[in-house]
Amino acid sequence: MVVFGLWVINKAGGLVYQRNFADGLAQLSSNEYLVLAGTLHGIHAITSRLSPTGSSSGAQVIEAETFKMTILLTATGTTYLLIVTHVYSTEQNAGTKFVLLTSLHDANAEALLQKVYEAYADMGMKNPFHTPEMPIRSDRFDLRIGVLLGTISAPT
Amino acid sequence: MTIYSLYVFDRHCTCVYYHDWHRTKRPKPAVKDALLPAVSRAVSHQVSAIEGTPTPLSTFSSPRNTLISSSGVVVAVNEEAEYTKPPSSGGTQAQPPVQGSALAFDEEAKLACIIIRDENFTSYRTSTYKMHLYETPTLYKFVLLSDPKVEGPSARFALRQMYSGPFLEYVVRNPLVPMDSRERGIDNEYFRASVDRLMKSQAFFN
Repeated sequence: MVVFGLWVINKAGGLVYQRNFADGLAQLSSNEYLVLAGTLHGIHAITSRLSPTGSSSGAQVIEAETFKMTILLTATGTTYLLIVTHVYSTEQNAGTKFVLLTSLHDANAEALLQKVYEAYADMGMKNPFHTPEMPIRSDRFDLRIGVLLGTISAPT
Repeated sequence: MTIYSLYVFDRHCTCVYYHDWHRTKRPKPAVKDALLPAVSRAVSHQVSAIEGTPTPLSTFSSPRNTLISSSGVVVAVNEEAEYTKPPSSGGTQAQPPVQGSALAFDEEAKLACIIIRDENFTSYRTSTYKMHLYETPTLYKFVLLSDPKVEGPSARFALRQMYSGPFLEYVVRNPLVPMDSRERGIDNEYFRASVDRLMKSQAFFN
């Protein structure tokens, strides 16, 4: 699994943290990132309304041909954490093996997001100089995220 | 594992076909003029509903009707149709309709369209359902809502089968269906029956 990027979005749909870990993502300006984060926020709200059976959460995993996004909505409802991971190459797109692979990666990405959330709780929320809902500018958070995701995202 | 509903959108992102199976939360019928004709009888604007008379269930008595499952058990009912049900059938067999803020069908279709428009994803999953998207080269979008456990590749394969089978046979090759007209949907008896057969034959249907 290659982790491409991590976003943290606050409850108003604003992007408070964004970091890329691997090459291959389009280089976007910070304004474009903000627009995309807002779009995701809206999509997330819509997906919970579209449920055909009772109440539903918003989207948790979004899969595309070449990448996968895992979204964690925290219990306080304030923050989404998002990892974009590379799941499989398009050649592996069919067959049973692929199914196994994705489900394995599934568990990984979600567990990883929980760890990121822990880091956010420790370095962001417990930091007296951090204002909730505002961009996270903390070297220690950066460092811990780097250790957590940077090592994993090294190409295997 | 089961599937809930199927939408077909054309390249203008207009809903042209709708079909549902095991859905427990039904949409309200679309408001007048908000939905093209020939999309789905079950969710189209109903004239009798406006006049205040309840829609008789017998309107939907055809075997292809999605309000009644093949076993003859009512799986879900509209709020309008609820009190036309004989009281004896409301026992253990029939599931109670889910109360809550159900969207009107046209609103629901619009929301789905916002998500899939210009997007390149193949599926997304929430806690209660999963949406699979298959886009044809002519920009028709086939959207399937299923149980979250249904594997993406098999659902997309079913959608592809639906495109190469019933859709080509009974819509594209059907001179009576105006393609891309923006005035009518593509619903017709053969297409609906054929889609129904195809979906019921899938391993993940039940």
